[in-house]
Formats: sequence, C-alpha cells, structure tokens
Amino acid sequence: MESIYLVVIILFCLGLYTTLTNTNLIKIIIGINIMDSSLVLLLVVLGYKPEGTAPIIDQQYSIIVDPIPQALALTAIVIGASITALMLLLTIKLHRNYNTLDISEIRRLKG
Amino acid sequence: MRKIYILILILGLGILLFINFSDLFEDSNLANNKYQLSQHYIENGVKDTGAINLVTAILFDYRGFDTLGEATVIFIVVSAISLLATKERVFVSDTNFSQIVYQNISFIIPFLYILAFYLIAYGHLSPGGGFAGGVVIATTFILLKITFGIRYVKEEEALGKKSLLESLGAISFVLTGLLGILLGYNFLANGQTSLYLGIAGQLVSAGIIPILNLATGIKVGSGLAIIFHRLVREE
Amino acid sequence: MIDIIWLIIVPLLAGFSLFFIDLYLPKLKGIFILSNGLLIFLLSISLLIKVIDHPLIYNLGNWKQGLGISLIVDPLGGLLAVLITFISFIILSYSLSYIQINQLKYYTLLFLLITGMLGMVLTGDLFNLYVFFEITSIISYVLVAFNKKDIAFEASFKYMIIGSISGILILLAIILIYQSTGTLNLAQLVITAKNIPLKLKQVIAVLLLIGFGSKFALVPLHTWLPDAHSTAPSSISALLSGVVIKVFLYALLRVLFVIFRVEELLALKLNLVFLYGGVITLLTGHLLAYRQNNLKRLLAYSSIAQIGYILIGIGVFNAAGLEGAIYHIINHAVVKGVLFMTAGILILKAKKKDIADLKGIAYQLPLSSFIFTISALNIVGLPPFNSFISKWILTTAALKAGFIIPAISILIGSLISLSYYLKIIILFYTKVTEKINIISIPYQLQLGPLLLSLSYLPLAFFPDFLLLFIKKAPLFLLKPINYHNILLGGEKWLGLFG
Repeated sequence: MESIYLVVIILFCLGLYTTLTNTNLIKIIIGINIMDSSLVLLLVVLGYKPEGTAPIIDQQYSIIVDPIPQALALTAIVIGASITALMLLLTIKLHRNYNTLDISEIRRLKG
Repeated sequence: MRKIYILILILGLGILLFINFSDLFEDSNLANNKYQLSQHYIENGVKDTGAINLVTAILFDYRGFDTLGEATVIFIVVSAISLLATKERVFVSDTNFSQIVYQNISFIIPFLYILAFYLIAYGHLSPGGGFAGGVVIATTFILLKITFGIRYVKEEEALGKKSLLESLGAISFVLTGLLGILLGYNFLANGQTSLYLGIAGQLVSAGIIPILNLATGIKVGSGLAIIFHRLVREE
Repeated sequence: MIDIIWLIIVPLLAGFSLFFIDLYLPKLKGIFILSNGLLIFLLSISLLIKVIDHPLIYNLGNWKQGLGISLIVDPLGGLLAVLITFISFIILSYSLSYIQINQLKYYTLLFLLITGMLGMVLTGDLFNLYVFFEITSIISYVLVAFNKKDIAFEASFKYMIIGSISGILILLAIILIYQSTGTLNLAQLVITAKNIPLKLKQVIAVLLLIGFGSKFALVPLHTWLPDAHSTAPSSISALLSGVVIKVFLYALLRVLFVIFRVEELLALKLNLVFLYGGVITLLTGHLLAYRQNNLKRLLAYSSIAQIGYILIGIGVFNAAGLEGAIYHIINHAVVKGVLFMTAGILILKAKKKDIADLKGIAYQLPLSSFIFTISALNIVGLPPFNSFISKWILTTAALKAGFIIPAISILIGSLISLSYYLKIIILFYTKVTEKINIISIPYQLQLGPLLLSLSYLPLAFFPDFLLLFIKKAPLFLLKPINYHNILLGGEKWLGLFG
C-alpha cells in the first residue's frame, strides 16, 4: 500500500521538476499533465479497499470501493483535459508568431 | 545551478508529503471518519437516486452541480478555442489512404454510434455515462475527418451545427435542473422529490439522471469535435 | 421567494443562450445583455438584504446537509456578490461600445466569468469551490488573450502555466482535507477539521497559501499579473484587477478560517506571514509601479500594492483589521475598475499606451481625465475620499495590535503612490501645442465610469452605511462556529467576545 503513495509522490515531484526546469513549451505542458495524473491516481487509490468491487450495485456485495473519489477524479480529469487543450492552442499560436518553442527566446514581456 | 536549487526544493517537498501521507493513511481513526459519507452513499444510494451505478448517482444527482460546472468548463474551452483559432481554411490531410481504410472506417462508424448511445443511455446502470459516450461520439467525427479529410465535410456549416448542438446540450442540462424548481423543490432535485424514480436496474429509471446524461453526452461530443476541428486547422 | 440559486442560473443561462439570441434575434442582443446584467444586480441586492440579518443556506437537489452540495451565504458572501454584480453590470454596459470584434464569444465568456465568480462566493462546498475556481481561472486566461496579439498570447500562456500549477496545488490540498475528514461541506468542516493532524494542517496551509497566493499576486508569485492585466482589453483588465483577484483572496480567507481556528493560525505564525507578506507585496508593488512607463502596467502594479494593504488588514487577525481589509477590497474594486475603464478611453483616444504620449490629453477628454484624477487621488487615500477611511481603519487596527512596521509601511506606500499618480495627473493637465490626432470615440464609453464614480463617491461621506454591512462579516470568519450554525438555521450568532 505504501508503495503506491510513493509512486504518487514521485510522479508529482517529477511533474513539478519538469515544469519548473524545462524551457520547451511542450515539455512544460507534459509536466503539468504528469502532476495532474498523479493527483487522479491519488484519488483512485484513496477510494480503494482490498478486494472491493466497483461501485455498481446490481447484486449484494460485501465490500464496495469508495465511489466519491472516483466521481471527483472524473471532474479533475475533465478540467485537466480542458486546460491542456487550451495550452496546446496557445503553444501553436506562440510557435507561429515566434518560430520557436523555447520559452527563453519568447520573452518580449519583462517583469 | 538553478536546476539544483529546484531539485533540492522538490526533494524537500516530496519527503514532506511522504511523511504526511504515511501518517495519514495509517491512522485508523481517520479511516472510520472517512467512510461515513461514502457508507451512506453505498447503503442508500440506490434507494435515493434509482441509479445502480453509484458513481453516476454521485456525479449527476448528489453532486450534479459539480457536473454542471464541468460541462461549463468544456463549453468555455470550446468558445475559447473558436475565439482564438484562426478562421482561414487550411488543408489538413491530403493523404490518400488505401481502399481498405475507407471501407473499414465507413463500416465501423455506425457501430461506434451504437456504442456511444449505449454508453449514454445505460450510464446509470453500467460503467459509462455522458462523458464517456460523448468522447466516443467525438471519436467518430475525428475518424471521419482524418480519413476523408475536409473534402467530404462542409466545414463552417458543420461547425455551426455542432455549436448549436452544444449550446442546446448545455441549456437542456440547466432546464432539466429547473424542472426541480418548477415542481416546487430545489434546483437539480431528483430523488427527494415527487419525481417517479422507477425500478432500480431498469432502463427507464433514476428520474432525471438519464436526461442529464444525454444532455452531457451531446454537449461533450459536439464540444470535443469542435475542439479537434479548430485545432487541426491551426497546423 | 427568490432563491440564491437564481444568482447562478441567470448568468449561466445567459451565457449559454447568447448563441441563440445572436442567431435569431440579433437586434435584441444589447438589450438582452444589459437586462441580464441588471437582473443579477437586483437579485444580489435582494440577497444581501436578506443575508445581512440571517445567513441563508440552499441545498441543491433537496439533499440533507452534507450529502449533496449546499450554497451557504453569510454577510461577507452577500457583500461580495453585490460588488461582483455591480461592477460586472457597469463593465457589460461599457463593453457594448468598447468591444467591436468577436462580440458573441466575448459576452458568452464574460457571463460565464460572472457565474464563476458568483459561484466561488456563494458555494458552501469545498470541491464545488475548486470547480468554480477553475471556471474563473480558465476564462481569465482566455480573455487575457482576447486581442490575439503575440504579446497577449505570451502573457496568457505565462498566466496559464502559473495558474494551472496553483490549481493542482489547491486540488492536492482539497484531496488531503477530504481524506482526513471525509467531508467536503465547508460548514461541516468547521467541526470535522479537528481531526486533521497538526502536521498535515501545516502542509495544507502552505499549499493553499501558494495556490491561492499565486492567483491574487502575493509577492513573489506576482510575475504574471502585470503582463496579463496590461495586455487584456481595458474592460477585462478592470474586471480582473478589480474583482477577480479579490474573489481568489476571499476563497483563501474562507477556507483558511474554516479549517483553522484563530488560535491555531496564531500558533502557526500565519498572521506574521500575512502581515509581512503584505508589507513586501505593498512596497514591491508601489516601487515597481513607480518605474513604469506604460499606463496600464502602472495600474496593474498598483493593484499588487493594494493587495498588500488588504493582506496587512487580514494579518492583524481581529475584527477591526478584517473590517478594514473588507472595506479596502470594496474601495479598490470600484476605484480600480474606474481607473482601468478611463485608462482604456484615454488610450483609445491617443492610440498610444505610454504615459509620456498622453501629455495634454485632459484638454481633449476633460470628463474622462477628471474622473481618472479623482479616482487616482481616491486610491492614494487622500481625505475625504473612500480609501482614506479604509486605510485609516487599517492603520489604526495595525497600531492597536502593536504592529508598527506594517502601519508605517502603509503610510510610506501611500506617499509613493501619491508621487507617481501626481506625476501622471500633472502630465495630463500640461498644455501642449500640437494636438493629439483626434479619433472620435463614442460618448457612451464615458457613461460607465461616470456612473460608477457618481454612485460610489458619495458613500465616502456616509462611512457608517458601508460599515453597517461590513461589521457583520468578521463574526462568521473569526468565529467559524457561527458559520457552522448556519446549517442549523440558528437565529443567534455568537459575539466576537462571547
């Protein structure tokens, strides 16, 4: 059980590291998506019970996994996918305007 | 140098999270606490909502308002992408596939539609629901687009129709919710009201949940199709 | 009986159905937009009047408390709802003559932005708060890029990267809260939050602070704000700078005060984080604003500085400080709205964005320049204007609580802001020989800011009127058990000293 949380944390930190250190726009987006996926994984793990069945009650089951985190995970997935679509659109736009994907070369605005 | 600082920072964060996680998930006292709400859903969910798929019951009934928010998020992204994407016509795929591909895609499309509407209609009985079904609907549009290119689709007209469908889906979600107010209860009311829930497990049951599923399915399907069409033209 | 839910349904339906109005009744579009704006404004006023004495709860889908999602409105929520709808109404009317292209998408997104903000203010559910938080954020990213210039795309992308990381951090915090308490209802969390171990609470506090902090531009997480707020269309800048960042601040306040008791916050030294974070934010914002050449960038940096004042008020952690902070939230929202709208008019007229190019503009646009001058003096905090009252409350509250440095820095900040605003005002009223080439602008543009100033400025002479509403708010923040009691529909609220 412990090892799954370790996986979640490693994924989360990996995503954060990718986002903060890379200069490539696409890689930044990938980093954010990794972070998002790690949280979805965390949500799914939270609801898990050993030997539990899926929360569809078509007969009497004794152990059923927690349905709330699954519903929350669905919401998180939809929102994450939406933001990704938007970020990819902006990446295409930036690439067309600046002819590069390197964020250090796209710096017309300054602090 | 900057990378090393960030690495140290993130390692610190990871260790901090790990310590807290291992505390949190071993504490049995917390576990009892946690299961109260979900236990209620598991025990009374079917009786309350008439849907035997509890995830759907939570998504479209207990927390239907969240789902309305999600649908709004997709609506926003579709509007945003049609706002920001360029309107000019760009040829995407001029590749000629072999006859096998064309025939196969034409063959598979009707079945994909059946699958999609099965997923939507049986959302309250089996895994699936509006979001999954909508994605399958969008897949059919995407497949058509990729194989037949833009030669067979009148672009702007088709997009206009899809936006119409999308707005219709969103509005019908809200209107279905308003039904509750009309009957003298609260917004998105279903199980707690005088609405007839039917016998759990049958196709026509669970009150407004199938209607909401259908609205979401239409919305998500047309929305994702619009997103794909707009993005593919940006290349 | 008009329920809370209409406040969310009306703008949501307006946003969804605008497509049909545009398709079938294009002539009625303007009237439709304005009447919807007015309708939600009136709805929010009726809500505030009801809520001020007796906070309300609305259970969606008739579920018992805690099973489904509830909307919970206390005086602070009602007050912010009125603020949001009022400024949105003015901005809708201003946009009718300001935005000429892509009107359909613009108003669709604007109505949904209003929905998102109202949802954040009215909701009583933690995860629902996150959904509305993302709605508000996503629309902000999009509207920043509305001009479709490459600079706008760049600012939007920067905002989006920082915003989505902060969203993920907040989601992590919400998951941790859910895992350790098993509840998502904010009012029930007041009770169940006692189960969260203290160590975990610290992590949650840090996650929330970074997550929401990067949204309301807590220095050093502010780098996106000047870009985003200066490249957006002026009407959007007014809304983003005036209201949106305040709503994110409200969300942080609400969640923090629900999860922590005040003693815990003091034990964690979070008050010092707020106080000195506020001081740093204030001074950084003012000093950077002093160096700007671009008018809208200067206003954006000034917004960062004003957030600093509000944070100092929160950091005092007593009723007086919170009252000052809420008063300043209202003042800054209205005044910065007016400033951005008039700046938009001036820039539209001169076709140039730099302050130096706007020399002598006051002789071409006397009314707009006059409104700009008055509002600038107002935000600096000169008597007898509104901001003077809120800054006075903030300073006395900080002094009484024994925080000398924040109190002094409020004074220093006001002096710096006086210097750079005076520089602009003097430049506006300098006579120039060659005229700025005359571009005629519709006179309706000036109606919005004029109406907003005319309705707000007189309130400076009746400070008790606003304080009447504001004084009720700390009761539900500092004594969260009151917030919990809304669930039970109790009539009596525990006093702050009881």
